[in-house]
Amino acid sequence: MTQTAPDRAPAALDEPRAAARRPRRRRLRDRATPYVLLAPATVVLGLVLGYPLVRLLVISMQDYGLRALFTGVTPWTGFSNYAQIFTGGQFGGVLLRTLLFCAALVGGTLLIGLLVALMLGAAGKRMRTAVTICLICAWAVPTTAATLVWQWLFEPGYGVINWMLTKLTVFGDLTQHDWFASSFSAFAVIWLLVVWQSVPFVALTLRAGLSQIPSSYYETAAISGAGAWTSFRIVTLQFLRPILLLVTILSVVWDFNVFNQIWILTQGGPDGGTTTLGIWSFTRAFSSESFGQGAAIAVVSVAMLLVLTAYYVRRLVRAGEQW
Amino acid sequence: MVWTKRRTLDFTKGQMSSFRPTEFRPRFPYALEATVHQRSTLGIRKLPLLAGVLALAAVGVSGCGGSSGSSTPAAAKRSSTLSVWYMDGDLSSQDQAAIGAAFTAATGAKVNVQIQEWANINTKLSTALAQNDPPDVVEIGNTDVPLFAATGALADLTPEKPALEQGQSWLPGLSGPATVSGHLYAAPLFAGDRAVIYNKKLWAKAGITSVPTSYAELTADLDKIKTANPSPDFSAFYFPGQYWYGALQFVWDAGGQLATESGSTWSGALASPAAQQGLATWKTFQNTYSTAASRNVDTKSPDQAALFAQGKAATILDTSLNTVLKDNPALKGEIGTFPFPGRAAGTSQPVFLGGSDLAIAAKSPNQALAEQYLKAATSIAVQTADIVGVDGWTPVSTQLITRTSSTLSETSKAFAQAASRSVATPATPGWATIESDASINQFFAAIATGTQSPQQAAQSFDSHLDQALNATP
Repeated sequence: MTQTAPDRAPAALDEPRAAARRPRRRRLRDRATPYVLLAPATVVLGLVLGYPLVRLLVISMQDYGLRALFTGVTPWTGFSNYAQIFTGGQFGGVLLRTLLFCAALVGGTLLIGLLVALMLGAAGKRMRTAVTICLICAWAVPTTAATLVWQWLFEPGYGVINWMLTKLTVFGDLTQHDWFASSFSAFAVIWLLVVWQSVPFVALTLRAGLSQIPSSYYETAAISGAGAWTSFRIVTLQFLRPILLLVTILSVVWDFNVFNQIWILTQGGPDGGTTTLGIWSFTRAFSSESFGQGAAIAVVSVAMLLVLTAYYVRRLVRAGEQW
Repeated sequence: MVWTKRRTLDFTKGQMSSFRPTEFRPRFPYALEATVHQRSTLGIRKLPLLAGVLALAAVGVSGCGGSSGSSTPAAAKRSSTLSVWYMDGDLSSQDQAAIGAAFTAATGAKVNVQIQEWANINTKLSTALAQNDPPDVVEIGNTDVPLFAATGALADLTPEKPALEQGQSWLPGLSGPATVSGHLYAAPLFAGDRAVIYNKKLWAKAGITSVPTSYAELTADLDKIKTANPSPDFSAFYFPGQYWYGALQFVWDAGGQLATESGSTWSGALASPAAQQGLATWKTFQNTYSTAASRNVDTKSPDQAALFAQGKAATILDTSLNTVLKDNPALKGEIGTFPFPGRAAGTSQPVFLGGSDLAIAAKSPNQALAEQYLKAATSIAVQTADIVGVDGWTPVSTQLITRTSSTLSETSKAFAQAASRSVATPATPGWATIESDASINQFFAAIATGTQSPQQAAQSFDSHLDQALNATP
């Protein structure tokens, strides 16, 4: 659709002449071709994404709990699930927490990822291979396994981190310190874990982008008297923009929905201090057996993600066209 | 709920060695096996929202499937084989066979037993009971029974109650949760509870010669042990902050309640003066005798039985010696048990009674046969010879506890004694929420770590209880 949009204006202007030149049937076939080619993908997407989304919308407007499951009676309640979410007094805090945590994750991932990518470019061949292998290994660890390792690393009393920090003799005896007792330090630990797992993708993608920048641009910049920072700004960042946009969108979507890491490490605790939208939706749906409310929270999350990413998706598409 | 009795009831005599008591076993919990399961459900990397969407859709689809096929008359499928679901690690196969034999002798019908895993059992039960061809008889954890009873999943057993009870007084911890608005929806199967487990050598080394019989004696003994073992990673009494089954004993002993029911409305009661006193006593006890590292953890990570087995803890409160002896067989004969002493002289703290009930699926076509099966399982003969005699569980009535007490081993006696003063969790479907969302773990951990005063923590948790316990499922 986006590709045809810029073409449409001239095509419309040419309409009368084109119609005169070409037989009607052929014109129809030309027009239909893209739709025919898109049809299989549309059908598959409709089945695996569209149908669940529609079901989700329907459930979010029903009083859908265990009773509904056993009796098959699903009373239609309109927007009451949504009303309960917004008036329950929890929504504001959860949303703010989710957004801040997401912003911290995306910012951290992009910054560290970019630094690693630049470092890869500057490093020698052997070092580059070694770092790349390390990155891919970190990337390859399944989320759940990595989270369990993290849990053990930061365990009070027996965790390696506490032992190491105590050995440094700078912070005093930290062996009994519990990182998950306050929501700030719990978030910090989860942040480390998620960023550690997300950096490889960002770093390798940006590295791929960096390697495509012709070195002549840097030479030109240097001849024109640009310093390292200026040449980074006007050459590197300009070239990386579409890729940066892409990884930003993906990071926002992923980090907004971080679930496993939080659920396994804190279950939303202490005292709800790490409850994000995903955790909240899950506990409403599967701990309180209120599938309707859980669905409503999920719908709200999807809507918010759409708003958050819409701007960037547009920019990405445009940037892609320019390139 | 589900996982409670898995660890609650683990004080058997050996044949369940594969089963470890774990403090915390929510549907997607810390335990490895369960988190692996979680991956398979929500495993799309970093896209749990999508996965959640799919999961919800799946729930929706299964719900619809159940209702659309309901045109077949269920009674037409009457059969003389009864299908029974037991939970993994609860009754031994010997017990199951004994109940089956008694049932077959009475009715001539056969039994088809299936063993279910604990992971995700509530979802599994929900799906199975919603179908038109459900298992006839299901074993359900005692605190989960209200969830299914109140939603129309289980058959009403009120008319059969006298025949099932056979003149016994059932333990309120088992029959209470099975009773919703005066109607009985399940029959007790077996119970289990907690008692103090102590390392005889460590206690003797601190100069203690006799088992404490009052709370004051207990703390005096623990003080001596603490003085004799000053290391910061040693616990005179290891008591994890999220160990709510244990912490509740202090609340109940002080005369407090989790929640009170008036009419049909539940209200959280932890801010009441009695409960506050219990919470304060518990906080002091936890902070004084357990390591600082234990204030925000559950009994599973680190495993309290393993700590005890390694000698890092002189005393723990637990359901069984099995895991300790498995971790360190050398401790055999070196371990003693006694009921946790209560405030009032000569009493023990009321215990949280875990256990399982047997229920009949409301949609089962074999209601009469299923009732016969329940009668066989609750019969005095099976309870005495098998539930106690073979497996070492606590039987379902006070009379049976008295009757079987003489046959128990020395270490099992304390558990049976403690069970005579038991309390149940609120018999309402909303209780399942409190366990699954781990809010009760966080409530006690907040008090133990001191991030909130008992008063603050109780006020916010009470309002959560108000909301969750009164929710209609």
